[in-house]
Amino acid sequence: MTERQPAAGAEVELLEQLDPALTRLIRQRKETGGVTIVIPTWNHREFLPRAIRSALTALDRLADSGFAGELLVIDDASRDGTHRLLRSAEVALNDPRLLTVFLDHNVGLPRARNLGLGLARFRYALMHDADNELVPENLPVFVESIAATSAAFVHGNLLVRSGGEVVGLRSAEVASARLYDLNYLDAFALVDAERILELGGYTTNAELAGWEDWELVLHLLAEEERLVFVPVTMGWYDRVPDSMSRQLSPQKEARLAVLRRMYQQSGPRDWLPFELGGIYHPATGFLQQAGAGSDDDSD
Amino acid sequence: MDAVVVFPEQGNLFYRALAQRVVTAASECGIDVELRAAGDLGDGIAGCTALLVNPSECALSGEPFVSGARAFGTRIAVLAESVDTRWYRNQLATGVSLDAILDVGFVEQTAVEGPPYGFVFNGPTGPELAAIEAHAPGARPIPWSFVGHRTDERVSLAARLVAELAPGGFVFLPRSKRVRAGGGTLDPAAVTAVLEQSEIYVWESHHSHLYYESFRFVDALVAGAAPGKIDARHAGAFEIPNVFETVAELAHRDARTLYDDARAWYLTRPTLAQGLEPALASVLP
Repeated sequence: MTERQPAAGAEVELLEQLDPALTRLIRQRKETGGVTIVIPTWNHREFLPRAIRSALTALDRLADSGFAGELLVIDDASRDGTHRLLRSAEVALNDPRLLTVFLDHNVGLPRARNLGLGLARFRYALMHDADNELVPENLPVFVESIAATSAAFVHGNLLVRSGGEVVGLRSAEVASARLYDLNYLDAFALVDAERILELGGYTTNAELAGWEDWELVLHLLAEEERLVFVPVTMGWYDRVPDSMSRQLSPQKEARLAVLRRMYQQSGPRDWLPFELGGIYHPATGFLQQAGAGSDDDSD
Repeated sequence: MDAVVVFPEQGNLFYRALAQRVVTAASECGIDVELRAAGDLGDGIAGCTALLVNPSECALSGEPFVSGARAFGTRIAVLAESVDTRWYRNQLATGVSLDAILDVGFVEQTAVEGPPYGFVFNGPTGPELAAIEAHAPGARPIPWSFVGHRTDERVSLAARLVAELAPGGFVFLPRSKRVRAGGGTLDPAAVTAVLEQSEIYVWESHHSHLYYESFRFVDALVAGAAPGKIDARHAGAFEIPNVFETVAELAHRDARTLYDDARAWYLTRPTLAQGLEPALASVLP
């Protein structure tokens, strides 16, 4: 992989614990005008070819729209042949946009994501789990949106698939005070990597294991960062029977209680607007600004 | 003042748009009409004729509406609902007695319960007619848009539209909630802003009954977008352009042709005023 500029900061200290050799590749100040697609993976070999194909096609569509891009795949010490598959892909594809990092011991999803944010060349990073699939043609719309709105987090519709059937929609609503009760925003989103890193990235607090996505969203809201929904389909979200996000063990319930305690002081208040995010499309501008309205469940 | 058009200010914003259109059309008929909010009916209404747009949502304003509405001489509900749904039946259970129902739509229905039923074709108002006649749609940045509250069938349709029509469509399917300003939904102005940038406005009913959502058709044409309804159950039953059984059928047509077909059909129909005048004449003093 191409050598990156050395940098300093809290995330570097974190990464030094993981792999000192990687710290010299960390970028705190990133380039604009492009996107880094970050795919952390652990034992998801069967999904990776599809994820890589859709990501590289999305980079083609970005290039058509005048944006640069790279694909960064971080293998978090998989034990299912992912290493061999990625090495084969590097040789077979011979695509300089495909960058790989192999960790020699498993660090977990939030740290792998933070590593991806740190290594990203570009300020805008698409956080893409290995079992996600992009709708490649639509990535430029999200990039235009994050650039135009200065959002820290831009999300779009995720079509949920299970067993080949469409079974739902995720991330398909504007950020609201409901997020203090329920996380309906998936991590599969375009983020401002510089800003997320400045805020400490995904939490690596073991007491919050399994709820890092939700914690990040609540953290961004608490920091008054802008979350923007772009009503275009970002991609596909596969509901896998053994997916971590589907399991709710007693331990995870206990961690959820910790998360709720953390943010109960910044949760919904009468004087706060219910809508905390905005709705935006490049063709229309803001369709709803953050900071207005009230919830109502009736039809 | 001949009549008062009452809109539900606590309810769905789209009913305010309907009320405003009724006021415009009634004025075009030469009727002296005022627009008032359900929760603030004001003075001078005793003995007047009331056109209550969606009474069940008007009733969200509570006692000021329910008691105030009793002062009108005649109460006519103005609806845009399938008579087979609970939303229609809800109109009859507000505590306000109704003398007649006017159903504004494209297809006359058969109401089996409630007060006398009248049908009004949902034609254009004067300003809408001028907008439709002036449109010369060209290429637009959004290939299609699909807006409505979320149902399983609509989510499946969104996936087919992405796969079969064009990936970059505008998809807004929030959970069901009332459309209010800033409430995480798109209000009428926002929908218009989307449609003005869209080539095709696609929709699907949120229920399984035979019904055509005429307001979506009108909203599309006025904004210069082609209306296109997907209805796998009833597509063959409509004598209205651009109703398709499948997305594949829609995908075989170009947006300009779809728009031209819809406009040509609509412009040969009566205006809203022409439909409203005889219906009101039969009930106004």
